[in-house]
Amino acid sequence: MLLEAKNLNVSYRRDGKEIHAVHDLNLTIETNEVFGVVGESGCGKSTLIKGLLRLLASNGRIRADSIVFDGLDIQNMSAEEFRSEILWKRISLVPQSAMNSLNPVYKVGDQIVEVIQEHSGMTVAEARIRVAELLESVGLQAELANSYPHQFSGGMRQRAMIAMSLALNPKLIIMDEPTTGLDVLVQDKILRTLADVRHQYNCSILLISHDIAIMSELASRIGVMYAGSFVETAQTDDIFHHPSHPYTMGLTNAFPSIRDLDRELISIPGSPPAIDSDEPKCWFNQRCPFALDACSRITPEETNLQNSHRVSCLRFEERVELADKAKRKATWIS
Amino acid sequence: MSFVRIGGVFNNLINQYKIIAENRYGLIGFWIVFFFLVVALFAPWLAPYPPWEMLFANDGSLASLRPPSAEFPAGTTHLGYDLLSQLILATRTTVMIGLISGVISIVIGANVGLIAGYFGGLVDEVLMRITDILYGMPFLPFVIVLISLFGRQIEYVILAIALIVWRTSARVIRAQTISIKQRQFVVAARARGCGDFRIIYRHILPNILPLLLLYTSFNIAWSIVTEASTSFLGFGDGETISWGGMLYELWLSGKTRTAWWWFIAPAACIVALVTSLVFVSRAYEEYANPRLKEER
Amino acid sequence: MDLLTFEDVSKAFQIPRQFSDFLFRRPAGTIQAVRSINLEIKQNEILGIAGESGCGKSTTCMMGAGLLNPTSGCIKYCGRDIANMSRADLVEFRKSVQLIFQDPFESLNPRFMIEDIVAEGPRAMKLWPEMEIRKKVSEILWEVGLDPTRFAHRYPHELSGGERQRVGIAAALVCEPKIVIADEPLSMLDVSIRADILDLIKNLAKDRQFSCVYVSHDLSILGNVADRVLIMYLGQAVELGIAKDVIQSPAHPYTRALISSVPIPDPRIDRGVPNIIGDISLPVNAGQGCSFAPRCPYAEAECARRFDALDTATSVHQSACWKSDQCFAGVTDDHS
Repeated sequence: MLLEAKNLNVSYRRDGKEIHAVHDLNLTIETNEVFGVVGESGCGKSTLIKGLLRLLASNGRIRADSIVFDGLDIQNMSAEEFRSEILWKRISLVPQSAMNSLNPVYKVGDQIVEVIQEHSGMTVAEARIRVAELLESVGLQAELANSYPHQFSGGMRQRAMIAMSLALNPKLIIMDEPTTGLDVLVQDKILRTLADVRHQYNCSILLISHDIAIMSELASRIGVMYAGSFVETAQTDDIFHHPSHPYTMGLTNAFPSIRDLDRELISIPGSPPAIDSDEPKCWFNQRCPFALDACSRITPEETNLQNSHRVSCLRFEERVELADKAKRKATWIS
Repeated sequence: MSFVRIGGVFNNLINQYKIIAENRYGLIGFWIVFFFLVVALFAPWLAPYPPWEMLFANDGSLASLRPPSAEFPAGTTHLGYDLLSQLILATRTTVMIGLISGVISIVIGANVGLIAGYFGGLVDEVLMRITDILYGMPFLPFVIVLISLFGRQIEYVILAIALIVWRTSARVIRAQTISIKQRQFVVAARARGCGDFRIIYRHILPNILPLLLLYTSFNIAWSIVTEASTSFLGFGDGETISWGGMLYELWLSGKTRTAWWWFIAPAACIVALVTSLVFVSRAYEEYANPRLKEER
Repeated sequence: MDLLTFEDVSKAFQIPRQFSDFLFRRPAGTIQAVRSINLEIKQNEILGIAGESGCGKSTTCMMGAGLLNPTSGCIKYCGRDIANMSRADLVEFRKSVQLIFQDPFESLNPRFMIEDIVAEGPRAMKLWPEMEIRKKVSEILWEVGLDPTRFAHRYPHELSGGERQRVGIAAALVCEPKIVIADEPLSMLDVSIRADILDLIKNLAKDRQFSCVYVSHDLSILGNVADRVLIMYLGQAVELGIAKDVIQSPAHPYTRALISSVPIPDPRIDRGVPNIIGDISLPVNAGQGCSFAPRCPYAEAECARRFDALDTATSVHQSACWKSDQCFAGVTDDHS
């Protein structure tokens, strides 16, 4: 087990109230796997990353039962130790719109060298050799280290950022929406690059995206996030073919497939909620076609189904029938 | 075709107060400005004496150069004039000049900025070159020359100030207009058939309102300072009294070193009013750019 | 009858001259956003235009709505050239060709109430008296699924993304247009609410009898909503046909690569590797011939000179690639 977070809570203090953007989240990532977190806007995925990497604003707080990475207790580590030992060296980040975060006045290679030097003892010469290796591994020519960001296309910049994240051979790379905003052909290249890179460097990837289709290609396990916690985590195949939570069922309905143009697309009524209170309830209950009365009063526990499949739903025992009903449009029209 | 709903105007004013009140300094500034406004409004009834009446003390002597006391809270001039009365009546002049000049200058500046920014091309070139020329003019000498040309009456003072103060707001509003012009809702307005002027005044203007109000406040402050300066240099209207004019009288009397009260009163008023207006404009600045807000 | 036609329309943008160009005496470059496009949009059809960024689809949208003028060629509305229309005709044109925008957050004026946003078109163009405008605004808000009593006096920032997009749709449709050009209306919405908005557009097109030009980079959505689909690459129209034909049996090498790179939401299906070389380039100082040739695995010398224009009046499945028949035997189907 590479990363295990138990009962992770990340909250913000705003206008005197404490808002739990992430609550009761259990996350496990194994070595050499791609774990996907899929969720829509406002579900808390960005907060999750910021919480794990301690990048929260001053009004944010992280609390958990435990956060263990590679045997180390990173929750109780000092900020100094975390920054020097974990960040970038063991866990690195490719943030959202990373391709726009390259400084336009410095050469790409120099920017990667700077990151390397800041987090390790390498000399400039050693760092430059490493940069050449890194660029090659993401499919860019080594000479491109001497170019400026504006000379790269969007896809090339994204690959440069992936190269940067690999610089110190981290065990875990967190990628936030790595292909959003990129054209589909460029996206294809990036997805292949990610699969290659993971193989070459033997690392795990925590992949955050709203796009369930790219998850199905890259991720071996997926966590479906809604309103601040996982409603379901399972092997990728199970998420698509044996969904156990109504939100997962709704999500798979909403994504079109180019191979199945006749399938009717079904929306989930309503919109993702803003988390503004602490009362016990299932956050999905207002949009859920299978909601019971109890769903608005009780927070469902996480149940372990077979095959490391976990789901948080009061009606999990009826999941097969519900999944069947969910495929019909009439079920979702409130 | 009416562009503005009258009923909404009152609502708007309340909104403006709320916006200003968000900022601590803005709130203080607002109430100080409000105070001066009230004084200006009721000046003739508030002033205990006429401004240029020689006053005599109880013992019959000329109440000349008296420091502040119960009888003359702001003291008196060398000719026995009551400074408090002068101060109060001058408030009216100053506020009036400030308001009118400020408003005229923002009307000119906003229109120049909006039109130059929206149309671009030759129109932009011409308007901006005019603005540039005005930028090149030294502020005070320009106003003085205009006053000398037109005359010393208060109307010309107002005009002269307005004609130069507009230059800063024009530049900034033009920049803001250019950036708003490219936003999708402006493209949408064109697609829905709106003509150019409708887009400028109905679609873009409401979106630059915070900036506009910021500069209005600022322009009023600047107008007041300019008026004080020109009056101090002796180019003010002789008939009306203003704070700068009071300082001019002080200077003429030669008693600058001794009559400290004569100096402090008008100077303090100028500083108080101008600073308050700047505070109000800071509140608008935060509103226009919420990222400037301090974390609370 | 063709509602809107593009006749050999091209659009070039000047790249602002850099100082280095001046020093080295280079002429300013031009970006050919759209090259010799022919389009015929008929009544009651949904035409999808697909392609990646830089292919010219957004520029085509803007020209179709009359917001940009073509560099060459002409755009005709009901047979009349929009560049030479009389004032009265122009109002008619504006009323009849409307746009739905991509960004539900940016396309609404943050200072306007919902009612004013929707009423702005008819008010600006003085289409009807005020009372009637208000009535139509109410009606259209109902039709897009927003209760006017609850929404008319709210501001955009109080609405969710899906609701804002519905307002955008209402604002376009209140003028009772004959053609609605939708520029990626779903791409900035959460996936779980897209289907409803798509259905809304489909149903409204049928009820209110307007044609729709639906521009998207998402081919799966186009397969769902469009009748005909046009694929564009770097300003050129490369393939046209009935939506299902183009997507299920693509004839142009670019379309084939495009379709094979769309991820499929099913881990059990392997879509293979798209057959394409290199990265997309900017259409700067483009020459004649096929713009896809530099990346095409089947390219020959002839390709730099030859480019077959498509007959966009029909739904016959056509490809601009003269080698389509050779490379992909039996792909073209004939439908009239």
